[in-house]
Amino acid sequence: MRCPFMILSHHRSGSNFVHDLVQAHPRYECISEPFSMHSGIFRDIDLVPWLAEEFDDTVLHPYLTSYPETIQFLQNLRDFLVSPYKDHARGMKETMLFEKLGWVNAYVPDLKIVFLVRDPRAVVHSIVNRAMYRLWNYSGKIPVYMHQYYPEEVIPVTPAQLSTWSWKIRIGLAYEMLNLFDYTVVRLEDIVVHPEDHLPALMDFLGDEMTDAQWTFFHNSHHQTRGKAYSTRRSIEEVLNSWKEGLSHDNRQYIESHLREEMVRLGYL
Amino acid sequence: MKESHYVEKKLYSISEKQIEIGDFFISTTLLTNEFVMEMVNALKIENGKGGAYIIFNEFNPSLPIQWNQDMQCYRIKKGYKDHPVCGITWQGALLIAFLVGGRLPFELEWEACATSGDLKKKYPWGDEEPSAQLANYGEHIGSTTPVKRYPPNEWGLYDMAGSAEEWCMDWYYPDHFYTAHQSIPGVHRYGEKTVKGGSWNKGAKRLQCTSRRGKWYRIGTVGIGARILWDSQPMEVIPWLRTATTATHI
Repeated sequence: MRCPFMILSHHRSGSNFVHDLVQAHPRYECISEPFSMHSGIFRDIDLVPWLAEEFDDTVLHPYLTSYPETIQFLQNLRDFLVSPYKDHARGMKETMLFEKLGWVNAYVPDLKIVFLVRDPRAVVHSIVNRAMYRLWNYSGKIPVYMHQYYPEEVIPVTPAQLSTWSWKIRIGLAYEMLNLFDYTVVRLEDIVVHPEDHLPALMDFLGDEMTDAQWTFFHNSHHQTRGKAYSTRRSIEEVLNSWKEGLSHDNRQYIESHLREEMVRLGYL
Repeated sequence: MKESHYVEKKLYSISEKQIEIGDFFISTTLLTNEFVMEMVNALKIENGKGGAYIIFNEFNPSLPIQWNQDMQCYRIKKGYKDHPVCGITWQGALLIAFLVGGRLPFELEWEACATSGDLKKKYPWGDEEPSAQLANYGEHIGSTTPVKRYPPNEWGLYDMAGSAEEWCMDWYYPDHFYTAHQSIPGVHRYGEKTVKGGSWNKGAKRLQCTSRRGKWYRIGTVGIGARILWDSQPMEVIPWLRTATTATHI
């Protein structure tokens, strides 16, 4: 039986695109953000760490004790993920849970992770451009987290600064915990520019080969930009370069100075 | 919800078998946001109790029906009243259908309706390839569209391709079509229900009448809605609801 998988990425990093791309395979089913978009509690506790030792097979986590309906939902979700049809595979994509990966590993021990990253300059530009920092309450979450874990740092104020720190915090958390899992790191830019190398590698990690349906989806997706904020139809030019004109000089400098280490590690600087 | 089409009994040849379906009424349009919201408000259903929804996904901010704290009821985002409801779960769709005396279509019934009784048709409008004038698909619009925006099929049914996919009664098995009518032996329930019809955010291939996929019955997504069917001889729907709430995964 195939292992369940999770596509994990920061907001505005192309996770809808990769989700749909994987799901275009006839044997793959993927649930989009079951924690952050199908539950009423997880956005409220974004960046509140959950540890592996806090996992409990009955209530799943002590915080959930007063949410029996959510416990049942998550138990059903786990059953669903680990019970695919014949040689099929099931997974989910999430843009949260970075600080709960220890707990996630206890919740679904065989979970494989596709860690999807995108140039943080493009990520910050997209978040600011579409005012997504409001949806995710960065101004409420990021300073609180920084106060506890980065007490020496100046608390960010502007949307671009908050988004920069959101990226830094979550990518840092991921790299702390990913070694608990069988995982692979995928750069959105690599998929877009060199699909012939990186898409087969992605599917190989999941245990399959790319299908014609997936290639069709890929080519249709990048033919032209269509739709709204969460559309998977984006021109390659927009994916790669729109931030270069839209991001102010000051914001670019802020991102590159605060994320230098991570960007070098991921090949963005 | 105010208009339906009567479908007469007819034999269809499926895998060398003759299967009779029909003698039912089917709604000409998809279930709308307004209808679902009014029903949930009128019945004071606790949809999002304990952080998990039952009928529709009220936790995804991009979906049109949201809880209004000040008014203590559900409200619809401006402009979405007459759009098909999305984010509705399979069990939620069946419950709404049941409350108005109906149910969801079986996969074979759905295909018969999509093709206006001619299962050889590729799309509800015929064999012409899809375009943005015929259906809402492939992010041409970027959201659902009001019901009746696009031309109906021969039977007067709207959006049998595009705008929102539609839940069917059948459990979904990738290798077996029309499972409810085929009496497929020895297969397990994997927690997925069949969805048909394509949607605003899916590609052209999903618009084909034979296209199908499965989706976890507990989830309400941004592209899946529902259509109600009324049997002339009402069938017992309660066991189906019970099955949905007690389904186990093997």
